[in-house]
Order: sequence, then structure tokens, then C-alpha cells
Amino acid sequence: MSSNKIVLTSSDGESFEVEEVVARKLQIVGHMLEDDCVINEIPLQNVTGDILSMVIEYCKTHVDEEESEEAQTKLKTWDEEFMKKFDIKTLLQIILAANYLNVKGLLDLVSQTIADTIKDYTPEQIREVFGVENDYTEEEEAEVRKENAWAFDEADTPKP
Amino acid sequence: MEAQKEKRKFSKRKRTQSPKPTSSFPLDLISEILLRLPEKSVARFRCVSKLWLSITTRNVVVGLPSLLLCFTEYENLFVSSIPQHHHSLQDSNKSYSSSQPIDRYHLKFLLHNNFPLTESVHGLICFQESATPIVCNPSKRQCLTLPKPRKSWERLTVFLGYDPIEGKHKVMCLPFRRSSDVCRVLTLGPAQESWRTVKTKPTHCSDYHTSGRCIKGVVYYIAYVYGTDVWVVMSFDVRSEKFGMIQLPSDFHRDPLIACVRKTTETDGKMTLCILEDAEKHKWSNEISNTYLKVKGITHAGEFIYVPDVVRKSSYILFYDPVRNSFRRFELKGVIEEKSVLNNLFYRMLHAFPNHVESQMSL
Repeated sequence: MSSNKIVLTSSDGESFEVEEVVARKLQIVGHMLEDDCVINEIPLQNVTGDILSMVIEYCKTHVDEEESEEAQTKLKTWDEEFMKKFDIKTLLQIILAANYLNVKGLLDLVSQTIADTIKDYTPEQIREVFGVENDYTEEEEAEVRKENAWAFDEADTPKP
Repeated sequence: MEAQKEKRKFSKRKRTQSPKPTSSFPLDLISEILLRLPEKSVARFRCVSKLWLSITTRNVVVGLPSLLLCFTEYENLFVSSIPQHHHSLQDSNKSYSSSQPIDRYHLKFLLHNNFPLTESVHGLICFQESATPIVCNPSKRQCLTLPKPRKSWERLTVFLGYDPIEGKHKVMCLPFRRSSDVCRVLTLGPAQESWRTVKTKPTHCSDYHTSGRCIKGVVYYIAYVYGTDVWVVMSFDVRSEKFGMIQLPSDFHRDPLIACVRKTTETDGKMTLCILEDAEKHKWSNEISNTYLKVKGITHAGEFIYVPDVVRKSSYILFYDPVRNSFRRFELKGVIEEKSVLNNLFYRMLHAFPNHVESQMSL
């Protein structure tokens, strides 16, 4: 495999030089390379430098995915450690980037991490984190809460 | 002066009216996350906003085929669907559970298991009651009772087909356990058609267990040819309404629940018979050999789906990948623990419909 280098540029102008095999992990880049082989600099409009660097770190680690159980376990541990670094706001930015750049493995990983993180959130916390406007009237919200009351009992009691 | 004041006031008001915070977070990503949450969290998040409510009450997470589950109890039907695709994060050989909401329908009839229900064909399912076919769209909570295909047919075999070219569903009926040189066909749609007679060539009798499988515009089912004792796979082209016949291997064991027809590749159009002759011949037979699971179909990813007939608290659904020889186990605990089901489910018969997609078709 030739180690052709490719430069990825983020929306805020930060550049990252990576090997082609790593860049191809971003399917969006893979498609661009197929369309035109001579590209060696790719601007990525929807992702900032700090998030792009995380995605590249993930891709570098996952560049050769070995089948062996040992390698898989090692990767899994790495994934877990990698995800521990981020708070929920960053995770949401990473999922957007993984979706835009089309990195399947990372998308799965971040989705699961977000799910694990927000599992015990209250609706208020969800609104804040996801920037969702509460469009219920007071009555409507009371009604939906009543219907789903069983889902609240533990979450509303602060853990000792 | 006055006018100026007025103007200033206006512009000020305009500025304080901050732009509506539009949630730009893509819906499919929200679905992707919700899919991985326990039922309880999903229920709580229905209170977030109307949009979140609508995402969490949808039967199917955007675009992905799901496994539709129906529990029946007297005249009530409980419908839920679970994701059937495999997440790379889910370990093979592991158990997991899910969080899809349950819809409850009231039916005017008893849904029983004497006659096989069709699979989910492009969002619709079909079953029968007193020799009358009933078509159901679970996504729209609609059921449509069709006219009787033929008065003299006291019992039926019902097949449902979908023609992807014209986008039309057709119901095809044969008499139950009896050879016939004709079948009756009805095209579903806004201009409610009536039954038409179509010649069956050759004259055949469908197997009484067979529920048929519609693959790419063709319905396949197991039958035997009139005057012989040869079992074959009959094909019915939904668009042209022509019959075809595929020979079965001579050592074929006639249990349609463990025989499935599928195309091997998209391109060569060849039919391959995948027969699971004996569950014990599979390496994982130790795992489920003494249970009550039955093959209900295959996922798009090629996994066999094993489903129990009756639901107990400890019941599970097994997805088995014969190529990788791995399985994943979906526990029904989460689904049946929902209060409405526990309180009402007296007779927990379970019907499962693999590869269900949401349909917006009105019946």
C-alpha cells in the first residue's frame, strides 16, 4: 500500500496531514478520492479542527482492523478509554462529525456512548444538551408526564 | 419625533425577539441514540418535546427494517417492533434488550394461530378470520376486512405480495388443503377492486403450514402438484400473475418453518434453497435444542430469526448468523414488562414479522 499523504482541512482552517489509508476511513473522503485521484488536499466544511483531530485519532487506531480476538479486545478497550475523555457536548459534536464524514464504526461507538451517558437524564437536561425547544403547553406536558410517570420514579429521586 | 420613537421601539422589539432555537440535531441521529436506550429512558424522553414524542412513538426507527412483534389477548392486539439490525458494538453471543413503545389495538375479532399469518410485506400483514382475509397496516393502525374470495371456499390459504414496480399490494387466495386450478387475486388500493380469478398452472395444493414469502415481487410458497406427491416451491409473480414451479431437493423435509427461499445474489437471479434440515445439526444446537423457538425468517443481513410461540417473562428471540456461527439474543423482558402488557396479557401468543418496514399506505 502506498503511503500517499492527504491533507484534510477543517472549517476553521486547521490542516492535518494523514496517510491515504487513514483518510479513506472517512467515507466522504473515500468517495472524493474515487471521483478524482489527484486530490491531495480536502477541505471539510462542517467540522472544526479540534473535533477533526479526534476523528483522525480514531481512524488511525482503527486503520487495520485485525480479525483476531486479541486485537479486537485491545481495540475495544482503546475505544472505551477514548470515549471517557469527552463530555456530552463534545460527544454530540463528534457524532455530528462522524455522521458528516461517514465513519461507521465511530458513529456506532459514539451513539452507544451518548446513550449510556444520557440514560438517566431528565427531560430538562435533554432539552438543554440537545438544544430542543419545549413546545408542549403546560397541560400537554403534564399529560405526557402522567402517561409516562413510571419512567420518572427513580430518575427524580436523587441518588444517595 | 413621534414616528422616530415608534420606529425605534419597533426595531428594538424585533431585536429582542431572538431567532427561534431550531434544533438542528439530525433526526436520524436522535433515532440512532434512542435505539440504544432502555425503555424507561425512552419513555421519559417523550416529555422532551412534541418532536421527541413523535420519534419515540414511531414504530420503526427511520428506514431500518425491524422485527414486528404482535402479542394477542382476546380481542386485543399489542404491537411493538424491535430493531433487527446488528450494531457493531453489540458483542456477538450476547444478550440485549430494547425500548420500543407498544401500541395497543382493539380488534373486532379473535386472532388465532390456526392459520398462518403472512409475513410483513412492504409494511402490511394479512391474516384470515372465517374464510375472510384481513389486511392490516400496523404503522397506521388500520385493518381492512376484505370480501370473501369465494363462497364455496370454507377455509383459505392467504398470501400477500408486493409489486415493487407499480408499488401495489395484491392478496392471493387458494382453498385450504385442497387442490385447485384457480386462485383469487385482489389488488389493494384506493379503488377497492374486487376478486379476480387467475388460473393456477399447474394445479396444486399449498402446504397447510406455508405462509409464503414475498421476495422482489414474487411470492414463494410450498405446495404439491395435483395428482403427484411431489413437493415443490411455487412462485407467483405479483405483477404478471403468472405461476412458476421450483423443484425441491429429493431429501427435502417438508417443514416450511425451517425452509426458506432466498436469492443468493442480486445479479444472477438464481434461486437457492436454504434448508435448515435439522436444528441439531447446527453447532449451537446445545444452546437452544430443548426450547420452543422456531425459525420465523431471515434478516437482510442473513441472520436466522428464532422466535417463541408463546411469551413468558424469560423469553427471548435469537438471531443466528450461520456464516459467522454467532448469535445474539434479544430478551423480551423489556417489551413485556411494560405495564399495559403485563396487566392485560392473559394469553400471550406471539407473532413475529421479520423485515417489517413502515408503510404510509391507507387501507
